[in-house]
Amino acid sequence: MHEQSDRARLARRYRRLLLTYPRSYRRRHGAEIVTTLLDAAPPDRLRPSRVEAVDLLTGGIRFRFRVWGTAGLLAAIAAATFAAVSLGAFGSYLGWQTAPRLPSDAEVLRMLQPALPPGASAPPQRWDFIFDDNPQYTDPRWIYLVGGTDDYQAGKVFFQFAYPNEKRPQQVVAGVDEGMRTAGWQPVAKQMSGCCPETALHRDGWLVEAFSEGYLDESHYGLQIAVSRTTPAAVLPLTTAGLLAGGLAGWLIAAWVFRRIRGFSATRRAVTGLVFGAGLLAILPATALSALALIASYLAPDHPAAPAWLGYTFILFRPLAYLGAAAVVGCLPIAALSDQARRGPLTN
Amino acid sequence: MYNAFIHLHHSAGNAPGLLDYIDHLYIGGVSMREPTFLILAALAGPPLHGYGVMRQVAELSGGRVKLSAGTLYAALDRLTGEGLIAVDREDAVDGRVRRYYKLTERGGAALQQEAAQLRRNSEVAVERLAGWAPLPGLLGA
Repeated sequence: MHEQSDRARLARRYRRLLLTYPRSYRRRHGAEIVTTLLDAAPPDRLRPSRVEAVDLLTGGIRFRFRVWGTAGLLAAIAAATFAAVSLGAFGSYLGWQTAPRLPSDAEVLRMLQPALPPGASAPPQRWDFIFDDNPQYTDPRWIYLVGGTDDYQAGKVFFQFAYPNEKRPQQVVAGVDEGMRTAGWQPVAKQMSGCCPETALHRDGWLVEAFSEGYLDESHYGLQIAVSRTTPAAVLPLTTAGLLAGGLAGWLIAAWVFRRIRGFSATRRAVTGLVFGAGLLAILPATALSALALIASYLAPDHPAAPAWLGYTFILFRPLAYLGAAAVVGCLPIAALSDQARRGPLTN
Repeated sequence: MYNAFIHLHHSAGNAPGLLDYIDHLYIGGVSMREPTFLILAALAGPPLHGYGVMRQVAELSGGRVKLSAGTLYAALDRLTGEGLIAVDREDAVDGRVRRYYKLTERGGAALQQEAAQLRRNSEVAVERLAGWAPLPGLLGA
């Protein structure tokens, strides 16, 4: 009696270790695996050995990651990559929500005092957002939300000046650069050739950019001097966490879908695969652009040219991404509707 | 798992090159890992349940290969999917479920092919070793 309850307790402990395996696998093999373990266990064993525990735990995790065949492997790699970029971009978005408010007009005037032309007193223009569609566009908001934009801008406080052609833009921008460096700002980027020279410097989490906007008319060119944010400290850790979590989740979901559709008819498998593939193809442009922006965000955190989620806001890429995501997500309930015939006749 | 293989002819009369010692070259397919080979060999007899396969594999390998339950059932699952083994029957005695597995025709052919290849490889190696003398100091004597 005592022996029976010891074996029952041992069986329960083995069943607990099998929880790392998917439910469908436990339904098919759980009972026979427990029997095998009990058959192999010495009579005096009360709990699973360490080797058994590690074997079952790692076996279950490995099974969840398993994919079959070249198609399965490619699908898993694709899903992991797309999910990594998407979640990495979302992590970046969350990190940017910790960005400080833009400085007040008075604070900006103080910051830019070494760079502003003498006598400049007009209040700056303010784009009080973190990133958004260019406020100078007058299209209805829904067009941007649905169709995307080709001018996604960082929030900033900025001055715009008109300079006479007699003073070359390179001279003016170089003067701004020198003035800001003397005031303790660190250089980030500088480009003096061509029509539109520019310089960027940073200090204390703020970025100052001065650039020529090109010729306004025959005798004047425009110059903008702007204060915006450098990348908040939370962005890169959250982006990295998103990349890793997305890669893992994408692979696991692809492996799950492949397990489910193994029992489908060839036609149903083909249709599911086509819908999934078409979905990924539709999301590809947005993901590719965001991947580039993600890489750039690691390489130049002090000069965030574009946020990591840029691809998902870009014109035309955004509606394609909506459609693609709907197709990919739509595959999941189709895969979930597996037939019951694969359930083993003996279940625990 | 196994596709065709090509037979390279031994050259006669010339000094033996590498190709003379390659009797067969697999194209496509991958050679079996030892645990898989032993599981199929274990099932080349009466159908066995999981613990029976574990015991038979240990016996066939002279105690060298001890399959864990996780490894065993991953292999059984894969081999069933590949059509090399199949479920023969299922029993439930005193609440304990046992599923018996058997070798299929396809599994038997694969096992035979692998065994023949291993035999050929070992014959080639034995033949080569007959004329082999270790370099001085190679064996650390």
